[in-house]
Parts: sequence; C-alpha cells; structure tokens
Amino acid sequence: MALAGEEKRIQALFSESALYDRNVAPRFEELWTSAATKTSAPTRGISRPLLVITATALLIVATSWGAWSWYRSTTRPAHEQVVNSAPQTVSPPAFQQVAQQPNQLTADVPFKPRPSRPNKRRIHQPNLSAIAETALLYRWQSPTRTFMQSPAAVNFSSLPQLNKSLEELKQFLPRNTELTKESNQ
Amino acid sequence: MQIPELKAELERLHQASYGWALACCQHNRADAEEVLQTVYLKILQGKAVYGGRCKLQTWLFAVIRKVAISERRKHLLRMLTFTTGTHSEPKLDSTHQAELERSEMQQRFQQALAHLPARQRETLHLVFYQDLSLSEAAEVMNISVGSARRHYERGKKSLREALDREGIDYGFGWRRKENSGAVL
Repeated sequence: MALAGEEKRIQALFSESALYDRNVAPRFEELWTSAATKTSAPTRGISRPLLVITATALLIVATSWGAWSWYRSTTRPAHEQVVNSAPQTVSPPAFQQVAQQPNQLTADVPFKPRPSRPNKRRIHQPNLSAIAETALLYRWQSPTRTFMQSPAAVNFSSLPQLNKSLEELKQFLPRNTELTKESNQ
Repeated sequence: MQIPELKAELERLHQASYGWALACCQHNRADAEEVLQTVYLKILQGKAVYGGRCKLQTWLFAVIRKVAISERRKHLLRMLTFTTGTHSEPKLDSTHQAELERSEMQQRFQQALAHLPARQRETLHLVFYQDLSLSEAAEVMNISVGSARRHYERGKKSLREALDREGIDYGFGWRRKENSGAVL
C-alpha cells in the first residue's frame, strides 16, 4: 500500500508502538502450553447457570404437581357431595330406631346414583368413606314413615271363603279387642 | 491444516497476533494474553478451524477480534452481576504500569488513538501496524471494503486532529496550518 507523507508519519508512530509491544509480548510456548493443558483438563458437564435454571424448573413442576394433587383429593364430584350431605341434614330421633331394621329399608328406599363417566383412578383406588356413606344412605328412612303405619291396619294373608261357617270366617277378622267391642256395640 | 503445521504458523505470527490482541483489548496486557490463550484453546479444541479461503493471518485476526469482543461482553456481565469485581484492578494496574514505561510521545499517541471510535482505531491498526491492505482489513473486521476505506479516511482525519490537540509535532509540517504550502 503506497503511503503518503502524512501516512508515513502515522506508520512511524505505529511502528514505535509495535517495537514496544514486541518487547512485552509473552512467549508463544507459554500460552500454547497453557491452552493445551486446559484442553486436556476435564471439562465440567453442566454449567452453573444451566444447573440453577434446571433446579428452578424442577421445583416449579414439583410444586404445581403437589398443588394439583391436593386440589384433586379435596374436591369431589357433585353426586358424592350430595351423598355426603343427605344423611346429615335429616337426623331425627326416630331415624336411629328405623335404621336398626336394614332388611326392610333396602327395599323401601331405592337409591339410584346419577350415572357418571367411569373414572379409572377411582376404580383402582375406591374411596372407603364414600362407600360407607352410600350404605348409610341406603339404610336411611324418613322419620315420619312410622306415622303412616296404623295399629288398626289389617293384614290380609288370604281371602275368606263364603261357603265356610261363621266361626271359621271370624278368624279373618282382626283380633283387636276394641274392634270387637265396637262391632258388638 | 494439521495442528503441528498450524502451530508453526501461529508461532510465526505470534508477535503480530499479540499486537492485534492488545489493540482489541484497549492495550490491556492481561486481557490480551487471556484472549490470545483463548484463541489457541479454541484452535486446539477444533472450535476455530482454518478453512483456507483466506490468508491465515486474516483468519487468525478475525478470530482474535471475535474472542476479544466476547471476552469484553463477559467481563461487562460479570461487572453487572457483581460476581467477580476484583479482577479489574490488577489488570488496570498492569496497564498503567505499561503506559508509564512508554515514551511521552507514545503515551500521547496512544491516548489520541484511544479516543477514536473502535472501527476507525482497528482499521488504522490493521493498515499501519500490521501492514495489511484495506480489503484484508475489511475481511478481518467483517465489513465491506467501502466501509473499511471510510473508517480509514475518517480515522486518519480524527487522529490528525487528536494529535494536533495533544500538541505532537512529529517531524516536518504535521499541522497543515503551519505548512499551508503542502496542502496546495
């Protein structure tokens, strides 16, 4: 590159600077050897910032999963909530007396739960408390049902035959003494 | 190019490489050594591969420049995050020590050079210090030849004005106002 007078002066200044730099330059072998040593040294597998980011992401995932599972365990479907609340709302004294007759109650109070979509998780892990509450609801009977039963109710086990004698027909009549008195009067 | 052959070439260019590394690191000797060592490390690891499309010196200077910029960014990040604030002091000390060893004129020249924009300073260094052509300088700086020429012309003008301010009268008629006949 052809240089003019002014450029030669600039180059002279740069040349002086280059002379000084050559005197203070480190030896090539020194830098090359240290670089080769670093090359052979085992490198770290994961850098520190990457490790911190990974740990933070794992913590967030674990926390959100825990919160989700807790939320799933506390909240139940609507029909389960109805099953739980029904026996608690009605608890008169007569209920306990009626509840001691399970054979009669199962036939009187049929319960048809609302059909829902099958839940695989619930099938594999049945909720024992929900089953017990469902059974209690099956046994539940209205406390006013006893008032519907009259002591004067007649239970006909068979039909009387008209060609029989009066004495034989009397056995179909109620044996209550009051009724007999009324009929006699 | 194999590593032993490349090593011989790098050794031949070592002085020039160190001068270029100094220019890229604002004449900080510790930073320049670190940059040069990182460049050798990248070559040994195979991260910087010479493809043979240009001169080896041009390729090497481009790698040095990129590494210097990267190291400067890392240093700035470290300064911002306050993780390692103790590294800058010894480097500044070594720089100041080096500056004291220079002649007074060289100190003024370096100060004038330091006030130039980076692109202009780099262009002037590559042309006058490393004796590269403008096209080679443009290749090192990854810019067009036209841009390199513009930086070169503006750099010369800025340097002349800065040297005028510093009062350096290097040889005959440095100041045009004192030698108006040379302009004509």
